[in-house]
Amino acid sequence: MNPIAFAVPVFFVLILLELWVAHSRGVSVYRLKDSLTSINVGIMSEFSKAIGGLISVIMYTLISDRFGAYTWDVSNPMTWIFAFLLYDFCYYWVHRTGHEINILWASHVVHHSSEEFNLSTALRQSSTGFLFRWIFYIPLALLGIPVKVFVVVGLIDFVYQYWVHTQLIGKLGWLEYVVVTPSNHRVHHGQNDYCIDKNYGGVFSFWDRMFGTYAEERDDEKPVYGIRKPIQSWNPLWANLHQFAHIGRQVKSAENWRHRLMYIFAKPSWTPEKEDATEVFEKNRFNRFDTHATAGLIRFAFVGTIMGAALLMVYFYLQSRMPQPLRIAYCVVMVFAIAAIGWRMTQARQKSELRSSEGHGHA
Amino acid sequence: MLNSLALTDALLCLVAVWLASRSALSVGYRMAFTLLAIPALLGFLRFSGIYPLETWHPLFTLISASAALPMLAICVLSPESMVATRRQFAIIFLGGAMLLGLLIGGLGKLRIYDQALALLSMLLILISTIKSGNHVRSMGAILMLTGSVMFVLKVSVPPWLMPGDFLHLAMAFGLLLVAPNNLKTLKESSTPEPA
Repeated sequence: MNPIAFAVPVFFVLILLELWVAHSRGVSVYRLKDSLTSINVGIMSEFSKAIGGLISVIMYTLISDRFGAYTWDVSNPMTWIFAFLLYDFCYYWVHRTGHEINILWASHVVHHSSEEFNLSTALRQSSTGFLFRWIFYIPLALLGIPVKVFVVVGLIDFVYQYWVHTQLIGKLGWLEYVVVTPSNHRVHHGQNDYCIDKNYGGVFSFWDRMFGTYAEERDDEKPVYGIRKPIQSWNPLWANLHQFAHIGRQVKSAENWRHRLMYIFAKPSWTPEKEDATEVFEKNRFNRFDTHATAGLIRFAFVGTIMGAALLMVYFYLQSRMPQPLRIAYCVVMVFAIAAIGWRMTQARQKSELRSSEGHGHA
Repeated sequence: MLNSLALTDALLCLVAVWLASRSALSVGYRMAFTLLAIPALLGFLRFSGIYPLETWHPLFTLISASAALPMLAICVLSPESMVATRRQFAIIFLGGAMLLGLLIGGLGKLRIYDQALALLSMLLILISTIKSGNHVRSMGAILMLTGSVMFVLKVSVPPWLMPGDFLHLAMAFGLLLVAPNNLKTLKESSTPEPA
């Protein structure tokens, strides 16, 4: 069974715990629509990985079997420690290029699209990342690190990153120098000027200090979460695809091939006029995205999301017994069903906007 | 005792490292030379018996042929291009070319891919340098091409030189000649040809 299946219930329990702690402290760190979207993005990511995610393990195994230079003793703890360190180092570069190369940002941006920061944000994972990520782990395969070790250290790295998505834990003293902490990661999710392109580490934060991308959380300027070009949607499918669509439009309208390539491979802030067109962030001008969904619609989205999570667990449980075409069909149907929930929630806003503009027209 | 392959690989490695360390060269050149130095170093370690990594030497040779030589060709053909002058694009180009080399030449076992790319790159360097009238660099390209052809034809001078030696020597001297070797050449290579 997929090991993520065991983690999912723990993730939900921790979300409930965070909600309770926040409530008892009298702070609000959750918005239902945002959290439902985060969970739906997470569910969609797992279904898309179920279809295409094996790519990474297959490629890793092929390269490791053919070109792996060394034989590693799996019973030696040093093998695991070394593999974990190297995995996290490669993760740093996966993550950094995910922010600094536009086509890779298109895949990763979904994780940053939430304007809240809580444990549900950690579930907002990309549905297209599996296409690129394995490339960055080729060094482990070339060293011959066994695929079992690769998968396990990858899971540990992934699960570790869950707990750092919270506003309820402050700075952690000397730990800030060694590992990624909630404070460190809040900066990464901020859109304030000092937060842009900072703190890429997965488990260890010393990579950031080594490569000059570390920034400490400021007490005088708390991070404002989200992205500079907000997606203005609760639709998980659009959250995954909007930047690809944006790049497509940019490439289509580009004047020459140089610009086309720049739109794909340069930093997301590149424009033909300016190498880095990032504007100064004005906190006062930032408005969180919201919609005016009815109570009925919220209930529908809530129940739909819970059902989506339940059907994901059912999938994890049954997948080994399902024929391949049925697995693919199951995943495709689920991806669209989950997208429909987000689409319906977003559409509510459009309707309300329409009504309000009609109202103004009548006035 | 060091055999001839180890010695010629060491020479090629030293030449490539020296060229890669020249700060006057553009980032594209320097990265191409660095990538060429890696299989040479692995070859030296392998053939000398100091630290043989049997799978890595052929792998990095094919990766180098499918990425470093095309990169070198781009630097000679279009020294002002983004790939030749900007680190981010040089890395992206090399990363993409290395990945294709690994997938097609390595996993797909289609060795014609990297061999054809290497030959095509050398031919392009030759044509470009002939057109620009830079005879020294043309000689370098001819030398590299000759070494590659001799390697493919398995020419050897037993017991002193094996087919790989001709390739290593031709590449070492060829790279020395093809690289912009003085400021005048550097300036020429970065200035568009007059109509």
